[in-house]
Amino acid sequence: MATSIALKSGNHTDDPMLQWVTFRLEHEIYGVNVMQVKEVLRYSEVAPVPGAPSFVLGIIHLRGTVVTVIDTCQRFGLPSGEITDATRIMILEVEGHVIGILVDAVSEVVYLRQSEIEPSPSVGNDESSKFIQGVCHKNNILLILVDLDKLLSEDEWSEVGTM
Amino acid sequence: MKETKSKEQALIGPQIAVQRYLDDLLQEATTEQADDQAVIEDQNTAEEFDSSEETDDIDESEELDDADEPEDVDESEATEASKVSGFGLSDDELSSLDASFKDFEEAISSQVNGLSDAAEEPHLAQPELELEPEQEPVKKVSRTDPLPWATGRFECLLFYVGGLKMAVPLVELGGIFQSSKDKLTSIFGQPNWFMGVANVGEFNLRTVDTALWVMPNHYQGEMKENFKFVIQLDRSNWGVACERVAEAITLEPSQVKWRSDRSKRPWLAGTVIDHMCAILDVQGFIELLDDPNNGFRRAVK
Repeated sequence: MATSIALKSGNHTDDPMLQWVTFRLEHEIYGVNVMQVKEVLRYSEVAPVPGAPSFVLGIIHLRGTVVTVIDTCQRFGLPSGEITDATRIMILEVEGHVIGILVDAVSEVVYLRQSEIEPSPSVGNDESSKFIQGVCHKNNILLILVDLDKLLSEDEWSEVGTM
Repeated sequence: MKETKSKEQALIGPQIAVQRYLDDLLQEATTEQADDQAVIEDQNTAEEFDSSEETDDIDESEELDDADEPEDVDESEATEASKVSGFGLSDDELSSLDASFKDFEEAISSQVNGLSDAAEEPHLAQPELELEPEQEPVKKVSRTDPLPWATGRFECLLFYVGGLKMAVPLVELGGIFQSSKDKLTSIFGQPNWFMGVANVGEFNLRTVDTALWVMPNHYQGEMKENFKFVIQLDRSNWGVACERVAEAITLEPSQVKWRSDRSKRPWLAGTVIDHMCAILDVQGFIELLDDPNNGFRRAVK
């Protein structure tokens, strides 16, 4: 069962309004650009793929198409969470590829001005720190905004593509 | 001198350990100065001097390496440390002290155990105390220049990180905030010392595990749960976590053992033996944290 997300535009010439779909992973709230979100699915069985990279959870069938699902916790270096009723697979379109990411829950769509986004602390030497586009404080919550374009390297995209 | 000596003897183990830690922090400055002079006079002579004074001169890298194996610190280091502190203990007296950081760690763990009691002290129950920001623009100080706020009498706020008492000059204190897991957003891919971001007023305060900076080789991050307060460094986006905030004290510059060169450990301005505490160089700390090329481990090494 899929949930579609309505897109709205709210651009301003100097300070564009951006929409972010927020999701929960572990105890923190993350955001991804709404334009890259195709749909959000309830969790369904993910078929593991032998020999797949460690960040790949497996594949699912989506209306006749095979979609690779990324283990987001593993990718971000976080401990893996349990599958619950709130667990979702977000189907994204990134760099021309369609992939799914497993998240603990999908929250809402928030509107953020570009000026509200602060750069990430950038103190980390860890590879995964490059996935963070910035942070933003909204409704008493600090959102961590993910740069999906950096989620996989070119080599990793080709690796995923050949699965 | 006799009075001082008896005072020293009266110090309990943890206090001595903390004092030794503070002395060791300062020792690098003395060492570097001696090395510089020797190089100017004669390179060969300097080598001889270094070998004869080997037990006296401990450069920072050696100090840090040794710190990994506290039991390796020998008695001569202990004697030198006591000379630096000016207490002049005899060898016998020194032999009763463990010259390593082990005592310091024990002191920390014993004091960490008492944290729950300390946290309930009435003066600590104050909610978010925000101090007025210092209006004067921040001047960039060379790592060897005297600190601008330390030319005359100045005030410091004492706070505790583990068993170590630290002091932050009030003129560079941005504010004090209560910390909690709910308020702190952890961000993946960051180093261990980066505890997370806390939104406090207009600031997204990047909170630092202070203990990992001040005693990186003796602490693995196990005190994170005990940090109840965050001290904002000036009006920057950086805050240092601590367990307990204590009183403000007034100091004369002469009471402080200043570090003449703060290029290494730029967060440390000096130590105060009277209060057994280390004074933060706030601007130095901010610069260190702001520099992405520094990296934590690189800065320590």
